[in-house]
Amino acid sequence: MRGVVERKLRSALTIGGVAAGILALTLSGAMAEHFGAQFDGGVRYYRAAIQVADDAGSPAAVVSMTKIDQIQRVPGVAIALPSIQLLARPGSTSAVPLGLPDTIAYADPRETRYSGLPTKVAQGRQLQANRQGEVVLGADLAQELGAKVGDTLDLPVKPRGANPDFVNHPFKVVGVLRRTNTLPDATASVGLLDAQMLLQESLPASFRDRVDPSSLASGITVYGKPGVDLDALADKITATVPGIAAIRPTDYVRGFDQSGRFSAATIAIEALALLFGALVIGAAMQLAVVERAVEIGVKMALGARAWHVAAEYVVEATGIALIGGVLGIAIGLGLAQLLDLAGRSIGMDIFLVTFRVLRIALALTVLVGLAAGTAAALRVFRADPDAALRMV
Amino acid sequence: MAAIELSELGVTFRPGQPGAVRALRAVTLSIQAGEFVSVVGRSGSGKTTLLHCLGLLLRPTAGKLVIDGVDTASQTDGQRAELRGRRIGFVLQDRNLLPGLTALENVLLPLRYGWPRRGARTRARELLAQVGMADHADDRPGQLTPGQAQRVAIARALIKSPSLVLADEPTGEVDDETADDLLQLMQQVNRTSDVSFVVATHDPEVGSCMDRMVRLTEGTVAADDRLRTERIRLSSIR
Repeated sequence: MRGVVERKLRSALTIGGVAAGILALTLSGAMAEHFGAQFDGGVRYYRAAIQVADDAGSPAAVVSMTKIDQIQRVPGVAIALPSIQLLARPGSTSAVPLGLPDTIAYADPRETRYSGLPTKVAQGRQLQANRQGEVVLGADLAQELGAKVGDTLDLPVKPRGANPDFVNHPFKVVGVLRRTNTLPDATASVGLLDAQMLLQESLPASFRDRVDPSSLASGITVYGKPGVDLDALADKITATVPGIAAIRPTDYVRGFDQSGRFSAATIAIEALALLFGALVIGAAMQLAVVERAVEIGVKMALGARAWHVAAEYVVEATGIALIGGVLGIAIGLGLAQLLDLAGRSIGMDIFLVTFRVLRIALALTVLVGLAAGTAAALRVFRADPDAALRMV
Repeated sequence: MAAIELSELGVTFRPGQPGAVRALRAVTLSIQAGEFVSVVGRSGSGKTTLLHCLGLLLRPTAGKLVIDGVDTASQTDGQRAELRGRRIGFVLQDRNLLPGLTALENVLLPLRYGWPRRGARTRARELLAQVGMADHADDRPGQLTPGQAQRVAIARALIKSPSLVLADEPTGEVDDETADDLLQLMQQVNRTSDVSFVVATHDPEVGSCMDRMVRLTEGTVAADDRLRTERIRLSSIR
């Protein structure tokens, strides 16, 4: 490790190169974790249920609550529940087209018994039946809106340049959910009556006044009885109940393919970052062996065996890699926090730094150091002390 | 029994290839314990090759080399390194101290490689005092004059109490006065211990300050003269 101190400039450049590689790896890893968690949550939720939508040419993508009873009668259905989802920030576009849109949602309380994605309250309480004007916020949305239990906020959030007829309503925050790193984090949960009112208000004016809000849902979520093949059940619902389309869970989940492609891209970035770090430190160590040929000769003349000197190079390379790696990880952590903090207000919260990311970054750092050190060590084993000392 | 026996020793670089170089040819020598021998010759005469063979850094391509009764030809690289570390000290030309280490750390360097370190710092300080460098223990090589650096190198060569010290042009980079001092120092160490010295030099006057002078010409021993029992100073013949 003394070589690191002796060659300050080169060591600094090498450490900087490794740090840059590990920084990229940490950030891309944290991004992959973020989207991976969202993807996993989506898969867990949508694989456990059948999503039913209107198929009768409704002008506003709403489904009638009357369909629930018909679906309920299909053999194999455990329960059919209304679901309502609306944009919490209509008209706003995310700066980065990634991640989940902020949503106002209604989910029937009975769903918690069936859902593959149960939620827990971190502060306050869950919604209570038949109480209006209350909202429970997901962790990210609460942070974005800067809202805490007891606060009142207007939903949907009024966008800049909204039309004069834009309507929103005050809601009292009664709870904030524990972070799930997936769908519920960006959700404002409201009661059924509130959700139906908001859904009606979101409809085109020509259609809005002709519908009874209490009959509206944006979809129906269907859970099957234990052991029932949900894809087959979806086909059966579509065939049995007119005017609706039940989407097979496997088809729905396949829609997340983009997340899979994102993960592949992230892995490619990580591999490049790793390769960059390995090349930087590898080149530096190879140069060190060539440059210190005389030193290697002197050490061998003084009784060192080749493996003694080789081990010194492995230790030095690993030490340099560790310093660079820890630096890269630290900068990566700080940068992820800063970027998330800056992006939170526009829904661009895209990093999730987990212990897995840190462990992988650190393990790969050591691996890069060991690989570079070993490559240098192999060169030491081929060193000729006789020739080296003639260079004195 | 002699400390070192060389019999018909030969070294050919790139043997069997075009441009093969016979650096040593049938060198036969016997060096006794405690002898102070110079190997004198022009550049390219084979001095360094001979020293590197004696120091087990280079395997001869012909002949036999026996050190302390051990035929080194049959030894593995590891055994040769072990024998080198245990029995042989090296003093090289200029630039042979590691620049990042202090004088004291340079003296301690050979002990880093599988050698007991108990009491090592005390021993290293004693050696630095013996070579007149006690006040420079914490200096780095860049702060030392060439003569001082060679004194530290001599202390480093002695840290493992070797039976043989090999010095390759130890006075090559210093002025006459410093060369004289360094020779005096090596003579003093040789006199007060049973350490053999083999000193390679291109300078016949430096070589003549020692007990015995082996003259190499084109890889062969051209002369092997026992000079005197009384040692002389370089300054007295220049």
